Amino acid sequence: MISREQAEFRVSRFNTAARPRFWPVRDEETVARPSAGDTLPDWTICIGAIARHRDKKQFALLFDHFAPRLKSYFIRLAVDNGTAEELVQEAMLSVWRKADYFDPARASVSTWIFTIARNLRIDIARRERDPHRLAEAFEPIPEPMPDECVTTFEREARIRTAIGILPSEQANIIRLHFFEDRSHAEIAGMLDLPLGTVKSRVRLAMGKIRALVEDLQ
Amino acid sequence: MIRHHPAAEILVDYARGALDRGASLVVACHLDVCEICRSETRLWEGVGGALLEKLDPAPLDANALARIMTRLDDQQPHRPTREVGLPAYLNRYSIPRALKHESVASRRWVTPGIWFAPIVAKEKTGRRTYLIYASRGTVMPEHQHGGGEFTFVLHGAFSDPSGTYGKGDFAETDERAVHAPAVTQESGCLCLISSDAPMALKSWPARTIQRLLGTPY
Repeated sequence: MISREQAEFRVSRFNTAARPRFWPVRDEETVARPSAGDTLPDWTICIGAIARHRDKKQFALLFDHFAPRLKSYFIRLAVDNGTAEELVQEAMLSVWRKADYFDPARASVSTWIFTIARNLRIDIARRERDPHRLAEAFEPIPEPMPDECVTTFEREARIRTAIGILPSEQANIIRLHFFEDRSHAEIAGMLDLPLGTVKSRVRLAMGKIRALVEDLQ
Repeated sequence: MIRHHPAAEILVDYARGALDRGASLVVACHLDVCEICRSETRLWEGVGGALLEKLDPAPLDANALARIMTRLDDQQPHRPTREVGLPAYLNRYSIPRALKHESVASRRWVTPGIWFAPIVAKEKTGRRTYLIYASRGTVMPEHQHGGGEFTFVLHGAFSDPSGTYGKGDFAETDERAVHAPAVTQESGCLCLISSDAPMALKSWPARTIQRLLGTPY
């Protein structure tokens, strides 16, 4: 979560023609710190400090926030506790190694970390069979086109808003669909709903998210 | 010009990591060349990032942070493209970036005009992923797929009753379709295919060749 001022600053920064490709140089004092209130550090700045200074304190902050969520993500994919811990370590080590390549014009930090975890997930089945081939993680890295960069920040903000305003049963279905690897039929069984209702709720929820984001473009 | 794109659900499944590796690879190749689908995929990856933020944190092992902090100094900096060096016979084609991380086995000629080259070792799900080349005007033996099949066209074009597929196009075939794709007359056609199950050939001579070669395609 970032403040409105930070959001506006970033929006204006990304809209300028001379948008920095990766990291704007910033003063040390702008590096993220946990604040006294309920706002979290700006993770973009936090990753920047890791990229530029190999800053372990910032990494620990990032770990405290994301590692338990990543563990929750992997547990939902029905891996055991030990494997989930190991996947969390691997995902966060990737974050440390790849911090230089994080591009705020392409995705928010949480989306970037999600795709790292997602790519590890794709390899889970393979590593179970052949545990020594850890190094070859699935990692397609399509580059963004200049015109799709401009609205990344706004787009992600809209996605968050959209998810925030979904009726709870739609938000719940989206979460089950995205994170628990449930088919529509399984979700229908779990929630004791007809299959058609589940399908239409997924479609509705996704349509709402898309409508809010497209509204922006 | 790209005319055939993955269905919306396929992009959602790709974004959430529900496709296995070979299928993800075929989608990633299309994303490499298709801005429309890339933008759509970013939307659903953004949803993944937003949902990750909202997951209830799962408690980590007590020493998780300490363990990762001691591992940081051993990490080699990330190399963005760990290209494995594709075989020389692919030099004349433009290969999507997503494929450059994969190791491609040597090609096997099936007839004087057709060869296969496996990409990803057979997955636990039974999925097979391979490059297939057929020279101009080749009509493939009529066959059916035991499961679904994704195809990405790297070079040339082929047609079947569902349409003509050219460079950059994505085709999905379901288990019911029986088809005999025909390569167009202009040039040979190179495709990346990922398939749930071996193809079921309709004619006995083709089946005999399949059995003799031991090629599981």
